[in-house]
Amino acid sequence: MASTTPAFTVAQSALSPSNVLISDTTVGPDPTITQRRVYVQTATGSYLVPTGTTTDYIVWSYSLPSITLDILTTDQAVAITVQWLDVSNTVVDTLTQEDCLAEYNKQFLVYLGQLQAVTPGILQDSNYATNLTVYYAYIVYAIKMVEIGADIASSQNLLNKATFMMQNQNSFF
Amino acid sequence: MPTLLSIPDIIELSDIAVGLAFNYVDKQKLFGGTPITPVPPVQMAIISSSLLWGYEGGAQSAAELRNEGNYLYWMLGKFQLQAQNIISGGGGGSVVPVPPLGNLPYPYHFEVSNIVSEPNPMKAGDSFVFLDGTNGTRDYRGYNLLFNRNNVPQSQQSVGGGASYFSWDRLDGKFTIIPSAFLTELFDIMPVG
Repeated sequence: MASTTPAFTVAQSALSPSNVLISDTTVGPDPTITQRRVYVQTATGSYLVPTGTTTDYIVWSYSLPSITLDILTTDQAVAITVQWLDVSNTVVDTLTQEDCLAEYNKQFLVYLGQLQAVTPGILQDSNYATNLTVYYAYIVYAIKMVEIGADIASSQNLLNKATFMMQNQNSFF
Repeated sequence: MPTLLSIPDIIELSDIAVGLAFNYVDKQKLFGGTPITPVPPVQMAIISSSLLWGYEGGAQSAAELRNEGNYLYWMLGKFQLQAQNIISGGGGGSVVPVPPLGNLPYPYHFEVSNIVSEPNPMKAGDSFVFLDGTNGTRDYRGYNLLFNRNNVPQSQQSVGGGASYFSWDRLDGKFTIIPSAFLTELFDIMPVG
């Protein structure tokens, strides 16, 4: 029997944060595998799928080493499950990992940093400086919640707070 | 001609410099002074992450990254100079690490007699002994030695005129005294880091 170590990587696009790239990095795949499925579950238990998909899962052609999913409208902490199946739809391997997809907020912080670079005096505004610090902490700790704690609920809570500040930037920045 | 630092170079500098800035602020507080930094370290950390995420994401132009990189470089101020020294191999701090005192072997304090026994590693007439952990001696190899002879600190330099002195090989542990030991002399042999 072949020794299989299922694995995959997840990356959110900075250019198009709605897109999530999943790549299969499995070592020694089982020769009986003929198909793959991806589940992207949010902290509230719902499943994210591209427009037009009617199932909870997304079919990932086994001939493609990676797949780009256009599933996000805002940052999400998610549990992504990949199933490897044989020809009779029996799950041969499965792997779940948690990811904090925070690129919307990360890129907004990049934008703030660039604005600050051309108007450095804005740091004298204590409201701006304080809000920026809080915003930064929300993002960093949302990521750490998943990376260290594997807690997508807490992570999502922090992401929501950051997203609120981003969406109300005129009040905060 | 000076080389312009790349964006990854500036980010790497900030990784070190932000920590230095935080420590600087803490030290100032420790002695009741007012922290004087151009910008708070947390702001440096924010811009550092902003630049890193912009660089990794690839959604910003080179010109945009350069502007922010220059801004971060300015923010780091004097701490980036210190960081450059650390990164380039100079290392941090100004204190040479020494072995903790608790790890030093016990010193010898004894009166020279006609026999060798713990804690007397030398007897009358001896001019050397290996302090290497063999023959019941203590292992002082790797340490430096201070030697007091009859309560007089001894030098490792011969100053002539018949003055006593000693030599110490910290590699093989050979401890040599000139002149040889006399009966009832008081010896203090102390390893130091």
